[in-house]
Amino acid sequence: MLKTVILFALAILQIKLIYTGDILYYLSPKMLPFFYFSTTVFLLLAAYRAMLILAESSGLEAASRTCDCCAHNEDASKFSRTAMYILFCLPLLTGFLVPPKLLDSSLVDKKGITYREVASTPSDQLPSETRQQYTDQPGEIDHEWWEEYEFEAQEQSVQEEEQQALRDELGIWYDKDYYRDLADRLLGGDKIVVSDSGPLDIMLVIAAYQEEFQGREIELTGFVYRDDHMNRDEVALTRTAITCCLADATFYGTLIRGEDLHRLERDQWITVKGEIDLARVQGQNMIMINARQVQEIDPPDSPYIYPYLYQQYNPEAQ
Amino acid sequence: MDTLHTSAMLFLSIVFESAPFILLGALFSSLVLVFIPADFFRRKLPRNPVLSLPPALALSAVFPVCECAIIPVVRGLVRKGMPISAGSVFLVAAPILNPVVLASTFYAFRFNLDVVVLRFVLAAAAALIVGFIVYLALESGGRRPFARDIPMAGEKDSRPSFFSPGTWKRVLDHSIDEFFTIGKFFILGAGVASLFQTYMSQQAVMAFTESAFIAPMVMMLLGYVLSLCSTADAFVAASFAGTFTPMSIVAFLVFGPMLDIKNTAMLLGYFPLRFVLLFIAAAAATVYTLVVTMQFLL
Repeated sequence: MLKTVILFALAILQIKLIYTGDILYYLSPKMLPFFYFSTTVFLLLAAYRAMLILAESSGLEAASRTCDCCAHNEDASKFSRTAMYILFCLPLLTGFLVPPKLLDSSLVDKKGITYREVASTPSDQLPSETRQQYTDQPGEIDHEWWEEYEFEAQEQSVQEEEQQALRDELGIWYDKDYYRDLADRLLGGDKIVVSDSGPLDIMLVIAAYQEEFQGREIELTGFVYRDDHMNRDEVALTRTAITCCLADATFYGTLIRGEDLHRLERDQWITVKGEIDLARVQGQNMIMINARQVQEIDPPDSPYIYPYLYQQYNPEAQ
Repeated sequence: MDTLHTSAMLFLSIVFESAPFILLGALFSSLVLVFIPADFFRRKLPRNPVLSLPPALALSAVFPVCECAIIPVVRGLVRKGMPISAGSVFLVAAPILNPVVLASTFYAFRFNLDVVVLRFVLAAAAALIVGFIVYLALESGGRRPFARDIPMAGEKDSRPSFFSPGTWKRVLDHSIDEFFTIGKFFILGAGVASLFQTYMSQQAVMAFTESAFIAPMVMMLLGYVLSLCSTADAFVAASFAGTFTPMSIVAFLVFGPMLDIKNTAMLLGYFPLRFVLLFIAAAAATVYTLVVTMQFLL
């Protein structure tokens, strides 16, 4: 009986999250088909158990509910069964009672943040380091946006020689030309807008071709993160990338410098307009934006970005 | 309070993400229970369990299941008489050797293909070694330690009819029981993992990047504590790519999927304690030794 109730409650909780769209606070759009699957299965299993109980209570199918296969569980101690029900109540209670919230600075403190680093120039004489991250920006959204989200790649700086080696190794899979084209397209406009919509791997290209983008005007959005290493006039403009669920969240930051940045609260969402520049922080070159104008905004409809995974070698698709 | 709120978000997120796979695992294991005859493995597998380790490795590469779904299935198979050493091969290899994990690892480490290759080669090697250790410790000399220890309900000797409603009723009833049995351990594990995720500073691991001996250990521990799905951990690993050596990252990518907080809770719920302890020790020692050895060879 209790199991039936729990299965029903799980189904209702999941349906509620789908209906309100709040499920996107918990899962990446890629996982939604699996979520629909579990919702359906919970509902069907609950209905099945309810049917058995009804049949039993009307005496049609006496003694059929607990077949021999449940015998062991009936024997289980009262304590372990009580523990089981309490444990199942945990996700139900938190799901129904705790309002969802965005991941914020408190988690960045624990998990750390990744900056868009620029490959060192030969004169730096630093141990070379190759980093790449790919994230993508979903399309313009409302609560049904997972139906039309687009995947997009962003990549951090990749050293030239690595790229050459890769070109030899991967042949046609290698899509550097796509990034080169994108860089040319970006350089062709007056101003670079890093929006949530639009199929542009902007930050990737800027880090990869930093020299060409030096001094260009840019506009980008994120939330404010600060740590102890930062000066008074610095913040990290941060975005959260989710692969499957919140446990695998990674945070990507862009260093912003500007005069009144100290008045900004942590976790405040802002849109920054400024110029692309290079900063040297703890022996690493990284992209930095000299902020000219900072505007406080509400969190965007799609605060998370999702790593681009299954369309990696098909840049023409967009 | 704020941090606790974040923990609750992560907890729910892990539960929602894994529920479909636990349901699938429960369903598969019920199908195994109902349809595979009790003496199937005894008749079909070679007498010596060691000879069944390579086929188990090949099979685990074919089944695209993650670590949550594999545990009930392995329990079902072991209960039907599959050697527990072969079951250990499944537990180690199945979460890593599958196409989805390959795709995401390849994607996240496109510019560092060594990591991709090493992850899969070391996982396969570790699976065989762990299987062999489990064989030596528990099954050498024809011992069959756990076949009857593991509680599992609903075994009938009669051959089930594929078309009889009674058969499918047993599958359903058993799936529900299985879901609740494994679910309680999973929820416990997810809760602990989400608390670790939000209260433990992962920045602290940055202090250990230098040592060739300690760094892999720290990354294995991190993989264990973070309890990520094998399909998603590659991107998190990539965020450590600049600070840790590739071999430490491989240690994270190989050990994390085979053992973490949430599946330790599930293993403890399903298998006898001495097997779980042996399995954890064997897996940790094997992965660590492989990683450190490779570090010096490469």
